[in-house]
Parts: sequence; structure tokens; C-alpha cells
Amino acid sequence: MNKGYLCLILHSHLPYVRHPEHEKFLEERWLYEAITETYIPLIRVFEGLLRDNVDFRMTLSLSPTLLSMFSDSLLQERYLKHINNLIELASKETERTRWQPEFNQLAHMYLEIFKRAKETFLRYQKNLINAFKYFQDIGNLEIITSAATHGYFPLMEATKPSVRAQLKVACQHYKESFGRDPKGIWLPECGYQPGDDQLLKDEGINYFFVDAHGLLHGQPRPKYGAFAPVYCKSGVACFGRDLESSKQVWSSIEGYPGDYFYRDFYRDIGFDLDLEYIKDYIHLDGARIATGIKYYRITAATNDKQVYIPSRATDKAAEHAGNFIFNRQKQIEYLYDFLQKKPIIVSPYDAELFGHWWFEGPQWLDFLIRKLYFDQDIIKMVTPSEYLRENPRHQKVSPSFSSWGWKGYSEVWLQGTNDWIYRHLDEASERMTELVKFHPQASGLLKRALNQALRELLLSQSSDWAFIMATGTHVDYAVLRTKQHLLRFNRLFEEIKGNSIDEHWLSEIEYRDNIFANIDYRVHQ
Amino acid sequence: MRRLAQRVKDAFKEVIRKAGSIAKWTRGKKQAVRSKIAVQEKVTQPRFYREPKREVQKIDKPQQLPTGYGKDKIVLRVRDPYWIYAYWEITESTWEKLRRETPSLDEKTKIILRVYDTTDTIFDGSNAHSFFDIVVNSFANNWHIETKTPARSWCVDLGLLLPDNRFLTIVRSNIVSTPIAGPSCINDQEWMVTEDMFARLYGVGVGASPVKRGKPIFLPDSKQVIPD
Repeated sequence: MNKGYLCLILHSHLPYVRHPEHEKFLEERWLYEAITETYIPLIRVFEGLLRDNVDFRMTLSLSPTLLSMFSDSLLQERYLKHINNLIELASKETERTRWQPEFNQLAHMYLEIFKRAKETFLRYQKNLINAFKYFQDIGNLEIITSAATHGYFPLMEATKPSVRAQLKVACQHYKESFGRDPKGIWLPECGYQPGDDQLLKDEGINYFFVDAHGLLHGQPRPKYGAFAPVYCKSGVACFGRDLESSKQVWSSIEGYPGDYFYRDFYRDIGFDLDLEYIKDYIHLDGARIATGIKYYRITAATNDKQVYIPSRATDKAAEHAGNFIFNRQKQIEYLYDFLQKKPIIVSPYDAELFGHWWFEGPQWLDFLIRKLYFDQDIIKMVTPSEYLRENPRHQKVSPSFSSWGWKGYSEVWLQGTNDWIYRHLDEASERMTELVKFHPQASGLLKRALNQALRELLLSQSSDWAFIMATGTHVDYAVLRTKQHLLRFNRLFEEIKGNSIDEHWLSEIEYRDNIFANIDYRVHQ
Repeated sequence: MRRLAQRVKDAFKEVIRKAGSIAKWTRGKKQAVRSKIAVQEKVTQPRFYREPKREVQKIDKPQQLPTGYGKDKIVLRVRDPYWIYAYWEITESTWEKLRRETPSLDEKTKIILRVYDTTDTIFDGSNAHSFFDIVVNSFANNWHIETKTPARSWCVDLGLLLPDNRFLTIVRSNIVSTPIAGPSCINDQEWMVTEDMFARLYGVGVGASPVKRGKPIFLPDSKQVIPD
């Protein structure tokens, strides 16, 4: 008997890393790696489920920056080059490891993975939006949006026009990509600022998510804790993240991905093999980076790693999927008796955890969905929209300010390493509002400049930059991107104000920061 | 190479020519000339070295973000239930005006942040529940402020504390509200939840919370205490 719901959400996002000015650019690899290791494996899981008639339900948020990169022809061509390069490397590896059967088996596995990735990529006309759209259209996936460039809303409290622009641009872009309006949104970093629900309502969005304490600290007390959504004042529904199921997957200590039989993320032939052999497959200037070919398993908390055994890891993934279901069943049965109501367990994860960090993640998901479908009937997989249709009546609660970041609030994005950005971001936002006010009906070159100004502003607002500054890796790049977009914005502002737009330069930055082709600067108000 | 050397020479001459037109040499101006030459050298230098690894800024005029935007302002942000953040800018002309118009201003004058608790009031500068001061120096332009009590509204004045203890506001911030740090005391009539039930739900929900605080202790009168 069905006693509760499981709502799985994968949040997929990468910042806009497109650098036409360089043939090879280190940070663009974030996208290529995620395509090979996460997005395509996920698509292949969905394809397999469909082939075997497994009627699954999953919610996937695809950030507008990620979608924009999927549909960008330059990045598509570059990905093809990238994957061809990997196929070449993996082929060489099958030769090199010929006399080492345990490595040779793995080299063949990677060769197969890369070839499949290429085949899948081409099958969807190099644009992965086509794949995700298909699974949404047949009813298995519910794709939701996120803020245009993943701006973190609680720290944009003083610049609401920018929040509105982040939302409007996101919804518009969603519609262009999927031919319909988004029903829900993944607020970047799960960051909720009280009152923002009204802005979501204004864009026709029906629901969003907060971390557990966002609901538990809501006012009045939510009767069902984080196990039922609530309606905000605006009427928009708010779901709370379940921490127990999150921890099982996320935690580096107790979580599944840390199992010793799973593949080790850090050992990579890009670091291990002779420079002469590997140089064409790492960065142009010879900097050693990960290639994606990794031969070892986590083994233990040691540097002395043992060779990866795929079949053992697959067994583990199946076992962990079973364990996850067992725990959810116990949780749901307990809550069902206790609440006298079917609880909903909302389990959101970063999509890039699956496949990229946790190599076996897509397999785990595949086992999970199949087992849920075939082996039990206590838990029902559900999308938020479906759940709200079946369960329309909910308590009215005002959720509390919260995020899913470290310590639950804004400290990650507002601390000594990154607090300097806010005076500049605020000023740029105010300037943008001023430009819109002064130019309600621009056309021609002026309109192009205004649209580009909004692109630069939005790009500077990505929460990724502050996050990277806080975590301490790739800091130079994050600082550079923040400054670069702000400087470009400021120059556009001056040129627009001074009626001296440099068309040559404008064309150049339109080409470089080409996100959101159909942007309308007037959404910033 | 020779052409380049010639260009550097010409540039140098140009700088000297301009500098020569300055009637009076002062140390500062010499410095300025030197730095101009240094800039010239920097501009031509890369040709002697291999291309920088990443010259992303090529199309943009080399520049830094401005240190200020010529506005007097102070802005608040909420970090979490216990901390807020302020950044501010006071223009040089405002400082000058203050120096001119405040006769009692001397070296004993302190620049302070006055942090007002404005919860549930329409703040007019004098009706705060309480306030506390933080002494900052003239080089600071931002501050992380520990407000200690969650679920309050805050407003901050940046101003001068004069030797005679008078406070002179220079700029006033926006008002922000910090969140509650535990469950609300308010229970819904229609969706009533018992203390015991909610405590269990809260335990289930926050057991693994990223909010690194102890579990709340539920008191009989519904007022919760969050132990540090």
C-alpha cells in the first residue's frame, strides 16, 4: 500500500564558461566533463528506463546558463573535438595496457563510455536540450528553471529589480528551450528571502524549495514539518528538503559515494602518466589536469590505491539503492503513522554529483528507480506538480530566510573572501535600473548596448563566483569573471550615458558574452 | 626591435616634455612622472616576454573596478540570524564639509557605526529599542557586525562621536531583518501541532541540519531557547 511520496530532484547548473577568444580554455572543460560524465549518462539512464517500460518520475532543474551552453554551436563543436580527443586517448590506453588485463579492461570501459557519449551527443543533434525536452514531453521528467545566471537572491535583497530580471530572463529562456512555461523553480543555492515568493508568483511559477529549516522555522509552525509543502502568502507552494535522505547520499563520511569499492575521483592518468605520452590530452601549456580516465578505486583513506573493479562497484550501487529504499520505507512508514497522512520526502541533489564525482551515481539512480517501480508499493515517485494536483490542500506558512549552504544561511557567499563584490554589484544594479528608466523605448545601437549591459550585469551576479572565492580553488578565475563583467557593464553604462557607444567594441563583447540572444533590457525594473 | 626601442625612447621624451611643463618640481610630481614612465614600460614590456598564458582582458581597457562611486551611502546585508554586514562609501567632499562645519571635530572624534534595533517600529532616528556602537577607523569601508539577537530588525548609522559625546550621523542604512534561529512560537489554530509532535518533527528534520546549532529546548509556555 502506498504510504508516501519520494520527490527526487537533480539540480543541474554550471556557470557560463564560454571563451571563444581561446582555442582551449581550462574552465570550459567543466562543461565537457559534466556532459560526458553526468548529463549523457543521465540521459542514457532515462532511455534505458523508457526502453524497459519503467514509468518513472523525476524532477530536473536545468539552469539557464547550462541550457545556453547546451545550445551554443561553438561549444557543441568544441565538445565534439574534446570527446574525439578522449576517444583517441582511450584507444591509446587500450594499446598501452595490453599486457595488464585489469587496466586493459578499464581502458576498454572508458573507450566504450566515450564512444557512447559521442553517439548520444550526435543523436540529439549536438544539443542535449532535445533529449531532456523529449523526456519532459512524454511525462517522465519535470524540468524546472533556476535564476537566469544563478544569482543568489537573499543577497540581492537591496536590488530587487535584478531579482526580477533574473526570474524573467530565466522564464523566457525556459519557454524558448522547452516550448512551455516552467511550473517550478530551483532557487539558486536553495536561497530563499521572505517575500520573494511574490516575485515567483508574478512569473507564473507554482512552487519552489527551501532547506528543511526554512520550513521548520516558518511562521506559524508547519504542522507536518518538512514532510508536506506549505503555501506562502502569495499562494506559491514551498517544499522542504529532507535532510535524512540528503545525508545518505551527500555526506562524504556516511554517504554512499565514499564506499571503498567506488571509483576514486582524484587519481587520473592526467597526473600519473609520463608527460610526453599525455601532453596532447591535458592543457595546452602542459599543466597537468584530469583527463577523466581513472583506474583506481577509493580503496581506503590511503594513497596506496587499488585497481577499480567495475562489477564490484555495480554490485555496491545496487546494494546502496536497496539500502536507500529500505530507509525511505522505514521513514515513510514511521511518518505515515505519526502524521496520519502520506508524507512527501523531497530529496534534491546537485546533478553533477552523479557521474562526475560519484562515478556510479547514474547506476545507483537506475537501480533505485527500477527497484521503486518493480519491487515495492509503499513509496510512490512523484513530481511536485503531480503531488500538488493530488494533494491541493495545505497549510499557509511564511518560510524563513534560509539556504542549503554551509551553516544554512548566507555565510558562504558573504565573508571576508568575497564581501568586496557587493558594493560593485549593487551599484551596477542601480545603474541598470537607471538606464531602463531613462530609455523606456530604445532601438538600434542603443538597444543593443542596453541589452548587452543587462547580459554583463547578470553574468556578474552568478553565485558561483562568490562561492569559488570562498572555497579557494580557481579563485583567480572567479575574481576575473566578476571584474570583467562589471567593467564591461560600467563601460557600457558610461558610453550609453555619454551617447558615445563604441560599436566595434560592443560587437566584440556581444560575441564573447553571447548568452540570452533574445534578452530585453526592460525586464530590469 | 630597434623600432620598439625608438618608441620607448619617444615615449620617455614625451613624458619628460610634459613633466617639464610643470613649473615647480615637487616630490609627489616626480613620483608621478616616474610612475608614468613605469606605465609606459609596462605597456611595451610584454613583447619581450612570451605571451601571457591567459590574456582574457585583451579587448577591455586595462583597468580596475573603481574604489568608490562618488555617493555617500551605507548598505546592510543579512548574513544569518546573528550577523549582518555593512559596507559604505563617504566621499572626500563630504569629509571636507564635515571638517569645515564641525568646529568641535578633533583627533578625539571617533568614527562609529551606531547599530539600532528597530524591530516593529517605523524608525525615525530616535525611537529604536536600543543601540550599540562600533568604533571603526577612517580606512575601513565595511564591517561584519555581530548583532547577537536573532529575529530583529536593524538599521545602522555611520557617524561621528564628538568629544562632547554628541553623535553626528553622516549616512543612514537600509533596514534589514534577521531570521529567527529556531521554530516559531506561533501555532496555527486550524493546523494545530502539539509541542511533542513538533519537537519530534523538528528532531527528524534538523537531526542532520547544516544549521550547526543545538536542538531547541521546548519550554511549557511555548517560548523556545536555543542553546549555544
